[in-house]
Amino acid sequence: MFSTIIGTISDILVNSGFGQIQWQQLVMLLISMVLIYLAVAKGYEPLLLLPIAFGMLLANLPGANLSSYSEGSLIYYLYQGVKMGIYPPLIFLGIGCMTDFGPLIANPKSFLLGAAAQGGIFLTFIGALALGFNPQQAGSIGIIGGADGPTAIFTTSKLAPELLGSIAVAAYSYMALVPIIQPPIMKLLTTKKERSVVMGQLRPVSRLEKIVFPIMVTIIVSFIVPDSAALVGMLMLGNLFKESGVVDRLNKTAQNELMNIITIFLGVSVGATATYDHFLVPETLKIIVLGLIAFCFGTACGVLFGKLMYVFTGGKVNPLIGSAGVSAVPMAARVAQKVGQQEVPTNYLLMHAMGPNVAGVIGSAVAAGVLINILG
Amino acid sequence: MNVDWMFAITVLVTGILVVFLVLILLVLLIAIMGKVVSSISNQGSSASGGKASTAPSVPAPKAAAPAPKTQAKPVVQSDDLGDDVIAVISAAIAAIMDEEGVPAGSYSVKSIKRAREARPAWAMAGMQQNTRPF
Repeated sequence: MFSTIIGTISDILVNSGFGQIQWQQLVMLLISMVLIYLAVAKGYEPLLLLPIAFGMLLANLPGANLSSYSEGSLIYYLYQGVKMGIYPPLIFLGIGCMTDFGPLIANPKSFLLGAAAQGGIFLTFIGALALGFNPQQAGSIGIIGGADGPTAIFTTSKLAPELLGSIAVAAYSYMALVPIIQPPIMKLLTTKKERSVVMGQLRPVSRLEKIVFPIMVTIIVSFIVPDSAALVGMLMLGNLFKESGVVDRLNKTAQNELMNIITIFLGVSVGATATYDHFLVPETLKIIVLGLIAFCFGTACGVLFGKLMYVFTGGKVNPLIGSAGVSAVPMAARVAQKVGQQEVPTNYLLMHAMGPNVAGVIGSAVAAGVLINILG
Repeated sequence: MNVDWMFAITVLVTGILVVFLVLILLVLLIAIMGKVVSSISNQGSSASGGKASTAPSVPAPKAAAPAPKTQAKPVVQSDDLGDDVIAVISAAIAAIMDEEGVPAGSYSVKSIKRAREARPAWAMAGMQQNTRPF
């Protein structure tokens, strides 16, 4: 009887996590804990980084079979929403409800800054190809430069789902690091005189314009780049909820309950794609480096285009607002505001930077559509 | 690994071109929309405000040019200013003019308009408060 008990206990031990664990899983558990620390203690995009990090932890528990690839597991089913491209557009719906496109409508030229900042996506695409990634993977890595989490996840799930975990972690980490990454590039590329430009007040935007805007953008963008329709359409539907003022309940649900639920599903299931055999590969390091390059290129392209606008408008545009074209709403706009105030403390660039900032969201969705169309 | 550079450059150029084209088209359409909407609202306001030529709705306390005769009676007044506010502003002007040595009967307050500043002091204070966390 004694030997039976010993046998049973040793069976349990062998089948337990302690018996099955591999060193790579241990490393992944440590990485997930570091990410949890960054989310909780440092406040790095905690709304997404925390579920992503915990999903990563769940996926690497030995014997638990909780990764997004383990057919039949809870997370496997949640992951289908990512795989089929359902969650990112729904997140965009909520973002649309929270976004004020007023500054962009008041100064439509901001769209150009939002377009220029997407240059980082395509330049990094070339870099990723040179480092040995296939075109689909390169496109997915480049989209990190769009600084837009849902867009990056949407594009990657269509083009290179095997990289989803590393790309999501890279995208959200860099988005949290925008205040550290952007200012040196902005200062390097502009002169003190350019940074000191005080921009005039924006004109007030009527309600009619705010209602027509989402309808018009959806039609135009979807006609030209149908692959962007899911993202842009949902973004604009959310915005129409907000601006119409007649569906307050839907507006509140989309930007609160629905978005929170989707964020949990998206975060956990994307995190759970980062199993050690997918994450602990040299490609992940390359993705992290390329992601940073994409961010830097995007910022630089935006600022350089801002300089161009500074010249053409006779010094009326502060080039710093170009950096906000990389999306990362509203962090990038705040950074432009902060750097501007370092030169002129009474200079308020925030609203001016919000224009390129929200244009960047539309721009990166268009860029994603283009990449999916060409590479998909 | 062999990289098809021709393909890579094609993606780069097409991508940037399409993104710019779409967004330039949006710039044009939004600019047109802004023009149309503002012209519609201008028409509406000029049609309704034909008679009431008063309308210095937006624009700072301003002492009008010296008027030859009488003093102190406001000839024109803004709709949204009450008598109290007009009295206070007139008194302030009178005090300043007195300090400047301008005789009381030599000017009159004809209209009171808000000065069109880039950003008024109160708006500046509000903005400072709202953007402090950033």
